[in-house]
Amino acid sequence: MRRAVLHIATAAAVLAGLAPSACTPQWKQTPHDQLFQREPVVALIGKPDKRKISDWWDRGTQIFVRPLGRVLSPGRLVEKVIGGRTAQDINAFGAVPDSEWYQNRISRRPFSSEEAFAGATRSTGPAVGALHVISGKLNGASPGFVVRDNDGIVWYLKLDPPASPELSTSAETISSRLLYLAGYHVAEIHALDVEPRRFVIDQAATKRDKHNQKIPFTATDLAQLVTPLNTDAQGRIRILASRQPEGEVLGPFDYRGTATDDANDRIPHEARRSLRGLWLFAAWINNTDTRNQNSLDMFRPVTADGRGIVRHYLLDFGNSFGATGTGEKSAGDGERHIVDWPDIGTNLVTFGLRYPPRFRRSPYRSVGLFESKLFDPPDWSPNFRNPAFDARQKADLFWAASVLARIQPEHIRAAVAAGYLHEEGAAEYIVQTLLERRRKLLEYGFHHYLEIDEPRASGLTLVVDDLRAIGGLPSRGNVRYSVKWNHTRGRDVDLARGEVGTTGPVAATTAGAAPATATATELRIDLSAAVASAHRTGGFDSDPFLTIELHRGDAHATVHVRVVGDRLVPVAVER
Amino acid sequence: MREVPPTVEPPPPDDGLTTSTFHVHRPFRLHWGLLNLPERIIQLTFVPIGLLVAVTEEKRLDKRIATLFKFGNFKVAPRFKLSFGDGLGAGLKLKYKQPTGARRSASLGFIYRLNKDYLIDSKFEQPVGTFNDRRVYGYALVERDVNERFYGIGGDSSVDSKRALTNNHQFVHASVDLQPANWVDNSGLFTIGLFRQTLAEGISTSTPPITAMDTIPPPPGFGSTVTYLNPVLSATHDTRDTHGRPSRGLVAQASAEAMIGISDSNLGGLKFKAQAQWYLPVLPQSRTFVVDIGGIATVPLFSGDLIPLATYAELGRDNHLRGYSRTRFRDRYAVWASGEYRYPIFEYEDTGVGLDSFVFLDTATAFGDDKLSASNIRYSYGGGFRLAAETGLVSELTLGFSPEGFVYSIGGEAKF
Repeated sequence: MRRAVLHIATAAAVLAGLAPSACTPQWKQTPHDQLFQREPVVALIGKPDKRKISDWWDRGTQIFVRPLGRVLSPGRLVEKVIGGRTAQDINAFGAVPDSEWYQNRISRRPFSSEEAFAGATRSTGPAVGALHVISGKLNGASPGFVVRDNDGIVWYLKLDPPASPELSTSAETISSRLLYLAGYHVAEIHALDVEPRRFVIDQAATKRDKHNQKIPFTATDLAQLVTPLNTDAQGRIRILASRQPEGEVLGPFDYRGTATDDANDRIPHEARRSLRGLWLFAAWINNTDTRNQNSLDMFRPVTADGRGIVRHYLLDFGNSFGATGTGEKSAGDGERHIVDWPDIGTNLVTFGLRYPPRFRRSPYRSVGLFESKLFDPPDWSPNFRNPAFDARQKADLFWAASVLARIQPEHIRAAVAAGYLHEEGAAEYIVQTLLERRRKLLEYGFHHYLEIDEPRASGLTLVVDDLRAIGGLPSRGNVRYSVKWNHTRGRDVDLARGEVGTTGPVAATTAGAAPATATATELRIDLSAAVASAHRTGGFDSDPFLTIELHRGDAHATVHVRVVGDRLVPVAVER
Repeated sequence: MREVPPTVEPPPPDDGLTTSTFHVHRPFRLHWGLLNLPERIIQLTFVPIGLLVAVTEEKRLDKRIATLFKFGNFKVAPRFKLSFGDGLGAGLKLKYKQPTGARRSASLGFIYRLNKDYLIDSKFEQPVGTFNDRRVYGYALVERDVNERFYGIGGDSSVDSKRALTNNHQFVHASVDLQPANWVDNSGLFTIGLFRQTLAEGISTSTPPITAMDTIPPPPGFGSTVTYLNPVLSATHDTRDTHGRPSRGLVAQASAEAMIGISDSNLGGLKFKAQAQWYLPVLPQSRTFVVDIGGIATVPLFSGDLIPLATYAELGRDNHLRGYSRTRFRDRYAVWASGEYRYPIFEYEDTGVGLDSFVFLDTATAFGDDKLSASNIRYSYGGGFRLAAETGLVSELTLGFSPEGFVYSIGGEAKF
């Protein structure tokens, strides 16, 4: 009995000792997260195994197996009720750190139009001269072939559907630029017009026969690919040239789980905000084919002894905008999954009285079925389920919208220009459609959130970006704020209240980048009086944290800052 | 070639107070694992199928197997049939199709069932150039069915009168198109054939056999084998927009069929049939209401002849009363009226292939010379699904309900 009492007393003492630290919020603990961080990586001793995902079974899994499993799992219902599970690749600001999955680009600094035009490209495309065909793919959704240029660089070439010149090649090129700006790792892609006589078939060139066996690739095969295509006035055909990313091909990644043979892959992919937020960008560019198959892991050696890390790329955007690999999109693409059980069930019980939207074709053959009038963000769906998309929360979409807001009209125009669309009016149509879809997606992503982001300090002034202003959305008025001393072991102390409107200009540009437009995009809150008042309060110096609550209408956000001498250090944002 | 490295700023260095290194926080997830266990189990259950699919894709086993069953213009295809009464049936069909031009095709197949029933059939079809490109057809069939349902002759037959009947038959038919190949909406067919039928006691574990001494009068020709001459003349007017998923148009059919007993001159009958189906687009985008009305009348070929069983009008399951079992009602006359509302629930992109759902209400009655009575009007209702392309039906599942219970059918032949 005496021993039991002793144990209880000891436990109580331990708990009492832990209590103060348990009450201390995570964001007060040092070291504080910087806004932009990087996921630590280790060089892998062993190269991960090559992965192969069956395309057929991947489709079957997303159509039949996963929906069945989700219906039978109570966890999915609970997730739905509580609004999902929080992403794991986020810091105290809700920002996604740089990693082999994602790189903060336009969210970190303004990009110039030239950079938007270039995207991930490091060159101007295949070297001049002969293009040696080393293999071909005649069948499937995207026929094409692989060539080696005179510099020895391997390029994967894809062609447009003969009836829709420039449709797929421009869609893929433009999409790669926009996703690059958003921060994803993409391959170097060029839309080019080349003369067919540049293609020279290599002696060892192969293709796959109908039994998936390698057989020689012949001049007839090349003619079969090239002859149906339209040529321009100079006799050139349109191709898409994609350069294999640096490193060794491992195969596609899975949008769910982790790779057990990659020590750096510690966060389940469906719990990555960067992949969840990809939904918003996919909806923007109408990329309806965001499956495992359209991803690529590359093993990149980083040490002299061959140790390396795995970088994760997004691939194959030929199903973006109004395109598919074989032609224009169908009227229902982007509105539902290819086999959408809830949609089928709803159609069944409504006896045909429900008419889902059927998107209209654009007036341009090189654009296909891409529009913004009927586009409704909450209803957008890729062709196949994507585990990361299914796990998305509103906070993930807010993050993605905060990135999208920073992609400006001039970036969009530059990216579209990289698609080299020759059809008159087609490029401008895509720009306008992208702008309108962007507006709708921003309103959707920001819904119920206060649209502020990236807190930083200028002396004792707190500066935050007004994402509505950056995104070109109409203002919703001033932001009301209140400043409190966030007192860990006592009641919070009110220090100041006020209202602030958006002011400019945007943060200074970096070297090499075009000057940013001096528009009003910042909210600046002078905290010097509040800090002075806090210093006069006993105990502030040992607990120097201010909480700034911001309100605009029903939306609110909280920014926590640490006062260090005569400067502020933002440490967290809560939304 | 210009090489331009992409530029991205490195994160600011650590200053002791803040860090540029992200620390992964791994939340406690065991409870989620438990709550989502069924999903994991489902996935594990499907792993063998996934492996099989992956190997099939990698080695293209589908095409290799298809190649094994293909010899030039000949192809072998499996056949299956499943029913509660006769159990599973399986077999093969050898098909010949001329690749282009001549539209010549032939097939030979069989199905063998667990209750030892079997079916062997053969079909031939080719156009004849000297006959304005009209097509001629040949068809032969040998079928043994020891478990055919027989409820007696009469539209007022009771469900308790159900008996098992052996119906073994063979026939050989030759047909020719009455219309030249370039006719679009109208067609006709003349068929002449020999039909040989043996009717005897049935064999079933659940249904008593029909016997000569039964309280239910056995069908004409029972206990013997009779050979008939079987000429048929039919005409069709068809203005449907598509064959597989029609949304508008009319199909009107009329036919006259004689069954003339050769080996037994007491058996002989004439059957007249008229049927019209309207496809009405009641709402846009293939929401279609189908009206089907028609009637059958049979008369003895000569005064005093007995009408052969195969000539009688039949109602039940595929024949106008989808909530009743097959051959539920047989009599000399039958009339029916059905309404069916079809609407698409799934479209496979813009291919025209899709899944439609339908709900229906059937009313029909079978009657003899003096037995037409409102009390014998039967009705059934239900619904189902049709998987179809614009060119033709792939498969149809029908669930029908009637006061006698529930009947389902799965098939690849359109009833409408």
